[in-house]
Amino acid sequence: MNNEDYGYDYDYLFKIVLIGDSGVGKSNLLSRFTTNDFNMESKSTIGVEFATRTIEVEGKKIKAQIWDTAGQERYRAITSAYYRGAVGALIVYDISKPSSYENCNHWLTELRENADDNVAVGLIGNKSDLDHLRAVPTDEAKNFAQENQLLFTETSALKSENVDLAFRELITAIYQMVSKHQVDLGDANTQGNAPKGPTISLTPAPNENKKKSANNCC
Amino acid sequence: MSEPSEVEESRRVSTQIMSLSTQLIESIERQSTLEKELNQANKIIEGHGGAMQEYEKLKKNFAELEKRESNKDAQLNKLREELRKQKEARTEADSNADKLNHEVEELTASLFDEANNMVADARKASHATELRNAKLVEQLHERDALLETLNLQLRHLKKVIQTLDDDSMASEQVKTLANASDNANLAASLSKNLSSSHGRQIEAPLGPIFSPNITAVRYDLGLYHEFLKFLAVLPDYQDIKDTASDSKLLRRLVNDEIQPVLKLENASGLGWILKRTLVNLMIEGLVAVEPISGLNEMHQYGYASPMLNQHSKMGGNNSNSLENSPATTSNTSTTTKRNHSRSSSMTKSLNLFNYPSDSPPVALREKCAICGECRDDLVEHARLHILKTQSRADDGTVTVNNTFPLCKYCVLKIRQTCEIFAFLRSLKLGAWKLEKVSLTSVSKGDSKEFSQVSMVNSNEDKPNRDSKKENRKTARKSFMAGMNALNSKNTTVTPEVPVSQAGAPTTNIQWAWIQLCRLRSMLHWTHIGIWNVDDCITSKIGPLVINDGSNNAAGKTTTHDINGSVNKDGSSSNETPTGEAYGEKHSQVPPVPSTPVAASEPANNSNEPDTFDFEAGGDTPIDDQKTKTESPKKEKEHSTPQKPTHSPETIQEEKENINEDNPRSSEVEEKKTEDEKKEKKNSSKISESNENSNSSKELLDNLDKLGEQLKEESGTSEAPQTNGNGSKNVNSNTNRNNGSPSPKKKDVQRHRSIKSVLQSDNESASNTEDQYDDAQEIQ
Repeated sequence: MNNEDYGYDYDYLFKIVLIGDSGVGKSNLLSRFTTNDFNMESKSTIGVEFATRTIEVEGKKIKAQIWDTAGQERYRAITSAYYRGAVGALIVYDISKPSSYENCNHWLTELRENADDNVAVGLIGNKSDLDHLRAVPTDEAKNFAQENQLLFTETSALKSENVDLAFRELITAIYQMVSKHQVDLGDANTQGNAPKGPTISLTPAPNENKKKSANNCC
Repeated sequence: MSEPSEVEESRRVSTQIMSLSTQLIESIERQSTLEKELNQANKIIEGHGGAMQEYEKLKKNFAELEKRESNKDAQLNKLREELRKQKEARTEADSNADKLNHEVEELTASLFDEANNMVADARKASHATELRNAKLVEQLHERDALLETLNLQLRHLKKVIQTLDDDSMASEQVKTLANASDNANLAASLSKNLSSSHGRQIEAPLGPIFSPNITAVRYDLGLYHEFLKFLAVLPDYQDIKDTASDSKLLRRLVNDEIQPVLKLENASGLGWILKRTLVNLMIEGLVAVEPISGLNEMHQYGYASPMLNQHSKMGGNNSNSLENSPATTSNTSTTTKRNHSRSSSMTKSLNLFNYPSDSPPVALREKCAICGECRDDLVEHARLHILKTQSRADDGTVTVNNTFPLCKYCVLKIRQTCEIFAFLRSLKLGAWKLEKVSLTSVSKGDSKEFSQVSMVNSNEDKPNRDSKKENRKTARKSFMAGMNALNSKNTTVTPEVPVSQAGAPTTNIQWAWIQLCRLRSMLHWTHIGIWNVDDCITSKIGPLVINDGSNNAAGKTTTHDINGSVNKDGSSSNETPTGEAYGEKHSQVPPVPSTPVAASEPANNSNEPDTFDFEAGGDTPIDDQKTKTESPKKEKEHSTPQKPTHSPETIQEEKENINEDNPRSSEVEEKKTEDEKKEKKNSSKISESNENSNSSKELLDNLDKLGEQLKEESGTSEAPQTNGNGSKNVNSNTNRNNGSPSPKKKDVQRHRSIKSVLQSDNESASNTEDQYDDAQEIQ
């Protein structure tokens, strides 16, 4: 009856999980991305929190449902349940905390064990504003990401640097994977999409800028 | 006979002749008639002859006609036949048509039936779906409502968990404090390392070197004023360094605190330009310090300074020469241990770093660019980090201009310096949600500005909690200040430990100032020379966030010490720490202060009967209430910061302070006597208390027990204090002799050090400040 209540006005719904050690800034990344908030004094997450934001990628409205999981060890048992159905994941570490970077490996293996095989994964070095406390050189993290076929971004939720970019890259990657999958399945779609392909790939940049500026207004 | 006969015969003959004559006449007459008749007949015959002809004609005609007629008859018959046939055909057709019509009718009828049925079916179906739909929507709404309530519940539960966490954390802290004596062993090992004196154990205290209390921070110094000015103009400028024209904050920080520490002018590795610009780069955040490889940081984390086994390192030093050389094989148990733990944790993480994960730290051979350190003997002396100076292009891209090797010592110093500026920049970003200060309000006449500061100060000094709003509304300040003076004691004085709460910051600006003080002191410590700032207690200090009302109060600080021992994880959550702290306090001091305070308070509170009633009525019960029912208000806030510190020391200090305020003196005395009693009791229980402290971990929830333990502990530690209770100088002196106190007195010492040292610190600070001002005047 009143479908508006349930917001069906998107083309895709992607579930994305944020994982990483406690205190690396997952919750603030999320709040920065979804509500443009930053809370200096945020408490450690209990269990899981959600937030969604709809963005446009290649002309499609994509609703990203982001699960912000607790990084603390004691919630580890529950967290594995959160991976189910996730099509994307961001492994977050704190560039000033080497242990959080080292643990990325554990997170990665845990993710690979629990999530779908073709889940898109991004590695995020958060707190890039703490450049003077940096414990993880960028190129090392980048290499690590490359070897494991992860997207890589260094972000600062505090300064709102690259946060949008990181999520957008991941969502775009997921979308491309999903749409490619569809193309493989049905030829009818192929013909419709194929000619669009090249033109679309050029357009995102201006779109993105527009989006960003729009966001800034809010 | 015969004679008659002749007569007779003549008579007969005459009669016969007469008869015959008559006959004749008659025959003639008949003849004539006959003839006439004949004539007539002839005539008739003659006449009949024409008729005969005519007759003949007619006869012919007749025949002809007859013939024709027969023809016609035949024709007619034929036609009739045809007609009959037609008729037959027609009837047949008719019947067919009828049949068809019938059929059609039937068909249409069935068709309509069918259609009707279908329509009916469809209607039924749609009705059913509609029903179902409606039900589903209803269900959906139900689910939504349910979800909402569940979410609400979840939120509540999470809050509860958080409170529990914070509680347990606080009690953990209490425990660590309580366990200080238990830690004698550990302390021993530490002391071994630090003093490099082997055989003896349990001698030196292993607590923090010194840790001032948050409540002891001063807000009446010139630099704080500059800080306010800095905040006032901050929104107007793009960059924090632009504030230099309006506030001396940056200049003073750089000249008085940073330059003396960094000594950039002596830095051999920097070009002369960089020597001048490096600080500016740091102010702008264009300096990055990073390890050559992430491995290095792992290394440093692994050896956690207290664990550092210097002797063994000394022994194995040679092998430490760096540059990828295989990790010092001989290098001591610590390294191997570390490698051990690392290898277990890094089994899978082969590719995290550019170097194999089991490789030794990667270092540079060049001298440290800042201090010229060039020793290659120990890993700890090596240049494991590089400093990168960057420049930012107009489009925001950052490029690295230069890199310099740094030694551990300088890394810490540079990092702490950058931390200060990063913090100031974060103020610019608004993350601290600072109250608004206007330059005019700050600098309007010396008296006004002073009044602002002093007002804050006075608020702090008295146990009064004025709302933050007062500070925000500068216009009303003077008025409010007056009000404060009047009301100062009314608002929400927690009966227990009034003095300890006195200095608690109430505004985010003050919290920010405390954070700045902390960063400055950390810089100072790096200058003094410590291995690591990470294992120091760094209570997280953050802005007050007003949440759902009840919990708003306490600043997020969990631990109060700027440099302390205790656990570091103190998550910053507001409510929890307060609650916990409260609990601790409660358990610690409960009997002592409650009664006397209640007595003394009424007088002060007379202005505001309501609050007074609440508070006064409480007595001991109040304590319980507060602890149990997260009392929403400021009491918590205030109590938070000091609770951990609540060792007998603070109490004593309070007493001192109280003595100055006459009204409380009675209270103090009461406390003293109580304490002394406890001392006596507890002295015998020292050993018990140690055991108890261990068990206290298990009894996390039971705050009461904890409280008792604490009491005992505090009682035991009281002895040394009573001696020194009088003058601050005494305290400060004792503080400076770090080593002296026995491990059991650690807590006491620490707290004392917090207070007294901070004071002495402030004095010296004010001195330097004065000098600075003087110098400026001279100029």
